[in-house]
Amino acid sequence: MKRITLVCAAGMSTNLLVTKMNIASVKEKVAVKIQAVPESEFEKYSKETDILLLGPQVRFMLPEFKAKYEPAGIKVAVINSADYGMMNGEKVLKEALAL
Amino acid sequence: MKKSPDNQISEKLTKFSGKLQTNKWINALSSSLMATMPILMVGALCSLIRGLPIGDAYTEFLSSSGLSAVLSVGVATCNLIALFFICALGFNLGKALEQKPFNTIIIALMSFLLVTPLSTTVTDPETGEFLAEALDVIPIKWLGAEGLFTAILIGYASIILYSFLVNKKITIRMPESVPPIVSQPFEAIIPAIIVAALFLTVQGLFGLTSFDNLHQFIFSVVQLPLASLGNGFGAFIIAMLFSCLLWVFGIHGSMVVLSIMLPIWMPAAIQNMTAFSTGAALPYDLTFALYLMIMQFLGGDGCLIGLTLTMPIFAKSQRYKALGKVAVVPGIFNIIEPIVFGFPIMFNPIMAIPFIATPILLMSVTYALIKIGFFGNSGVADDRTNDPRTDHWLPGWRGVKVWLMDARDGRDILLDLSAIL
Repeated sequence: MKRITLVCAAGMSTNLLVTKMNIASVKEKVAVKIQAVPESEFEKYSKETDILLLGPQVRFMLPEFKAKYEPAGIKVAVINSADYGMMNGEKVLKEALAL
Repeated sequence: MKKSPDNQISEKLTKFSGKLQTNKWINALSSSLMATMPILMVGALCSLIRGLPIGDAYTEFLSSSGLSAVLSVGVATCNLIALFFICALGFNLGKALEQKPFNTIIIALMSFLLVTPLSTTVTDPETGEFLAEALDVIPIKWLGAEGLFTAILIGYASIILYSFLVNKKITIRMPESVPPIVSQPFEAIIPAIIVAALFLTVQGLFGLTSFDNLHQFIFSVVQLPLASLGNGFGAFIIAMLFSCLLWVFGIHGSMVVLSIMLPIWMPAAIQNMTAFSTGAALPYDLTFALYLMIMQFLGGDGCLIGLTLTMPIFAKSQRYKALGKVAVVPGIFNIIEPIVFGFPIMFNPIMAIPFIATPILLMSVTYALIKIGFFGNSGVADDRTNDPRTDHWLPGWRGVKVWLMDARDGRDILLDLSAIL
């Protein structure tokens, strides 16, 4: 099972997307565990993460997260901003799994 | 879908924001200030309950039941904010410099107390005449908002020095066989003595000057000028402009702006709050309580509440109707990402104009209304995750009127927008 963690400033807006992605995962019948946390608390959750997605509004943190977590085998990416705005859970999930 | 352009400015802003946000020095400072929020909220709530303007009967009940005195103790938590802050800074900076956080907390707290005088002068409250010198007391004045800048500077200086000494191994080293619980406190002894000697010397030297102590010096030379500059109308407008502009490039603007401005904004807000609770005149016209009211509680940066609320109902295009349904609930709680990225406001010069202009306009109008005395300033500092609507009640009934006006402004923008579409 893939474990996906989303981060943004306070973990609030990414939380919305998590709900949408969960609905999409049920529809597509893929087993995933998705959660959203504030960027400042990600370290605590890094052990239970396979794929790390950054909200576009905190994309400036990409280099830092990449350097820190890619060696640990976590895939790091920024969510496409249009999909983020439309809360397109299906597409974000698909792209995350394709990483 | 439009792909976000690989725009040079955007690239640069992203890098710049990243640098600010991930800078360990700035980060330790802003997260330590944020860590004092719960204490400020305790003080704010107490001062709010005590200061509710609902009639003399209420005020009399408070004082006859003794509740007033109890609430004052609660308000006093804010008056010790520098103490809480220095512990938080000791922890965060210690962690950033890879020292044992408990040691750095103690070192920072010690250094802060060493530069704080252990006596105060008692003056006649009416004439201001000198009555006596009280010894063996720590004046609470310097442990609150007015000591916050000293706490910042002392915190950094002491922890950097401590960390340097430990890294240079200027410590008492125990044999390997000694368990860490015994050896760890020893590690801090020599650095602590050196740090203490430094700050005792500093305090001694300032005792010779007309400032009498380091606190007074930093307060009058650094904090006061910086606070009056940074809490002015111009500074707020620049902060708003910058925050919104970053959002237009798709970057979380308020996160970046707050990390720089909090050290300047917070002491002023606390000073206002303390003054409010004692019934004294507020020292600052504007504090970031008002900034947050406009930039957060009207639907987030850019005051999007009008747009958010009206989009699901009035939007003509199917796409905006759908987006409106997604965005409306988060929007009420001031989460604007769906609109910024979905509308989009990002890289959209037409939407950027109202997005940036609305908060600036509202701030200017509000400032003008405060200046002519239409309503009082809001005295209570607030956390941005608080219930968004209550804030507008704080300045009294006129606040409600202004809130209605704000909501209308938001709608006007939507009307303008639908004309464009």
